[in-house]
Amino acid sequence: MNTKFGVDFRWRYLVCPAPGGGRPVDKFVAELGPEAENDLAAILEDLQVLERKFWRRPQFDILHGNNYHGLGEVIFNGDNKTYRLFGWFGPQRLCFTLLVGCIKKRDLKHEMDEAAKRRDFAEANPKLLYAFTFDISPSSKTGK
Amino acid sequence: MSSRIGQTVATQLRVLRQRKDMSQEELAKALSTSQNAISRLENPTYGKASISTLKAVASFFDVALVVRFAPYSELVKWTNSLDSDSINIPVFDDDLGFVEHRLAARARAVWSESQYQKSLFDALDLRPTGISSNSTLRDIASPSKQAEGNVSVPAYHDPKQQPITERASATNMIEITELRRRVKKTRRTYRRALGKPA
Repeated sequence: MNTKFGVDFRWRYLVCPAPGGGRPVDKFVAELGPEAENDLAAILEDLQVLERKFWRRPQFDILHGNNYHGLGEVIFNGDNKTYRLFGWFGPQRLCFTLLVGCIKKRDLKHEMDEAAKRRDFAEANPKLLYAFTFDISPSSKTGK
Repeated sequence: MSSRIGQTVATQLRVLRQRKDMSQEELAKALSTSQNAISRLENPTYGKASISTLKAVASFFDVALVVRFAPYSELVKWTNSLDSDSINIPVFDDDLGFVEHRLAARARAVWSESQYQKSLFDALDLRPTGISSNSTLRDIASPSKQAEGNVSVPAYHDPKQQPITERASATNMIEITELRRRVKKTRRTYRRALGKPA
């Protein structure tokens, strides 16, 4: 039982569509290799039942900077690459909205700015957000 | 599967440490290892934690460690039933699963103590008139209740215990006071003989 809330709880993962109407996060996840997908699933499942104060490195990090308020990144690995999935703590309590995914590289400013834009879009259009469903059964893709 | 093991163990360890407000360095010192070793353990991609290291960590944080082979379906079942306690592991004292066991153990301890006291009376032939062989020390040692004649023994002392038919009366209070003094003295002697604090 969770000590903070006194009841069992789970974070809800939502996805923000692109302002133009596409589903970039779904596409990003679909293109991940099995190893990366499994790693992402394991991290999201573990974080789902943890209080926000335990959302920390190496699996998660908060973005710092004036423009990045409320943003964080899920850090995961697979297929010899490190990935980042940017998200936002909102629009409601116990919600984390996935915004942009990318492969880690030296300069992620463009992706971070894109995440900030989508955060603003998500905040203004909460009805457009949809639930992130992550079915990671052993048969999905190739790996166990 | 390796992702799940690596991620969960690393996350659990990090949460256990952060819950205690410990730095990696402090934990390393407590486990007589290096900060680098702790950092590696908390890295989900490390994957080389030894069972002995994990046992030491479990012992330090007072949590259990389960390492065994199991069918994949069990892993899926476990994943599907994840809750806060699965990752943010409660220590032994906060483990709600043990509360009932602990209460039962406490009841057993109380019962054993009363049995010990009764056997002491029998052995020393200290039973005053008006006290039956089923009376507990509580019956004998509470004059006010005895005077009222309504001593009740909680059910957890012994469900099989017969109702007490005889009660101590106010007339033998002096005898009881003397008895209590002698019992205390005898207990002290016994405890000293057993090497326990009096």
